Amino acid sequence: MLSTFSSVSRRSQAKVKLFFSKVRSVLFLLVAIIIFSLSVKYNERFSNIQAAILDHTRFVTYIITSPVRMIVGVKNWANSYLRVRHKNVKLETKLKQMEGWALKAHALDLENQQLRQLLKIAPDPKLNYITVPVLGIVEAPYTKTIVLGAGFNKGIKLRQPVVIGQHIVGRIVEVSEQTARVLLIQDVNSHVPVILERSKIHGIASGDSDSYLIIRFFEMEAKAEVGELVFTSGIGGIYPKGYLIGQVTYQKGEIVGIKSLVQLNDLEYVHVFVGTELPMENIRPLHNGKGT
Amino acid sequence: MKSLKNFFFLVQPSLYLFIASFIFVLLPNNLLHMSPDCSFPFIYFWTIFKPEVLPLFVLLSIGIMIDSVQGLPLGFHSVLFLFSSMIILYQRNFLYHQSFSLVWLFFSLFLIIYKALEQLIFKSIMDFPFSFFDLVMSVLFTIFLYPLCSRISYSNLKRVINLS
Repeated sequence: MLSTFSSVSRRSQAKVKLFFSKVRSVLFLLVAIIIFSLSVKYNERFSNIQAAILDHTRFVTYIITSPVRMIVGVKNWANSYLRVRHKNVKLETKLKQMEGWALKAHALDLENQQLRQLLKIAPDPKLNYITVPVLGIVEAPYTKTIVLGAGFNKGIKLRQPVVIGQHIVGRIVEVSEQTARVLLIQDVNSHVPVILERSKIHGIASGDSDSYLIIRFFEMEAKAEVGELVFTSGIGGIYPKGYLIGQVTYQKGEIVGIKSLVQLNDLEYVHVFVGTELPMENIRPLHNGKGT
Repeated sequence: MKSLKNFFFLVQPSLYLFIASFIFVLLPNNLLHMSPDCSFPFIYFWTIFKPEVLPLFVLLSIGIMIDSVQGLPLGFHSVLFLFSSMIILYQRNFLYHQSFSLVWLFFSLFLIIYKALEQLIFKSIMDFPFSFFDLVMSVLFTIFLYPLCSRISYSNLKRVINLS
């Protein structure tokens, strides 16, 4: 009698335990749904919390991306030793070519200045930039971003363009005190106004699901040549004019694919344009599905 | 020293999930979209065999951490993890006593639900080009990955059961 009672009691205890574990899982799911909804709906207000988390997870990002950095480092180190002679010959040729171009550029710059004076064109606003270390490159299935080791403390703000040399890398979409996140131009949510080098056709370059960018032209039946360079057009006011986006690699019907010439895995430092007034719309397209 | 060792065994499922969630950084860029989901097999296994060692707050916090690192809206992965954990938990009594092949079959079914939910949420928040081929490949790779994850976790299970 007693054993039957204790077995019933144990069974009912197990049932109660199972019931509470189910209730707990529903409660946790509700908490997660609330966090997610707030993060999507009140994107800007929620960005402070997100920025604080980004600040605290910067070491996680750094540690997580360190194996990739190590592999790339070892590969580059081995390559540099294996190809020293070949690279030296290539660099010498390139240097001679560059010297010629530098002279030409100097002459063109002088001519440009003289023509501007004659036409009374206002000079281009000078762009100030700071150099910032790259903490990690995060290429996840649905996002392509990099995390920088500087934030508000160095004057970085949302939407500021990020470049390396003459190449566009992306723009700032998240800033905290000591870190910032850059949405790469290869991300599907990135939309950059561009112009083709030879045909001067305008379009919008967006990220594709792989490492290419796709151009959508404003003109119907626009054609691009393979190998043609693609630059920023400056339209929209976020990206400065005349910076390199990439090179046309293919055209299939209306779709033109371009490849960025930036080697993402080799990025150690980037330049962030600070002190420029940027338009207010579409701060973080990632959450609302709209682009700039 | 022994208690530290025991603690290590108890947190191992959480560690597995944490490491599995960030394996994507090692994958080449062109394979990312069809890459297997390494975190789901661990959630599935531990929710069936020992849910206590993979607590809900771990699922919530690892989810938030992944979102923070990837730059996604916070809570996205937490919703996915907790939802899948919840539906597996409802079928736990049935799955617990089944053979490996049946557990694996149900894993495939739950994975399809998980992936469908993931795509649905993504479609609702961002303009992402949907590729059916990539999705199928990702599901297939994850299904084939399950025996390995299960083997790794199983070697720990007995120890964890004894400890708790």
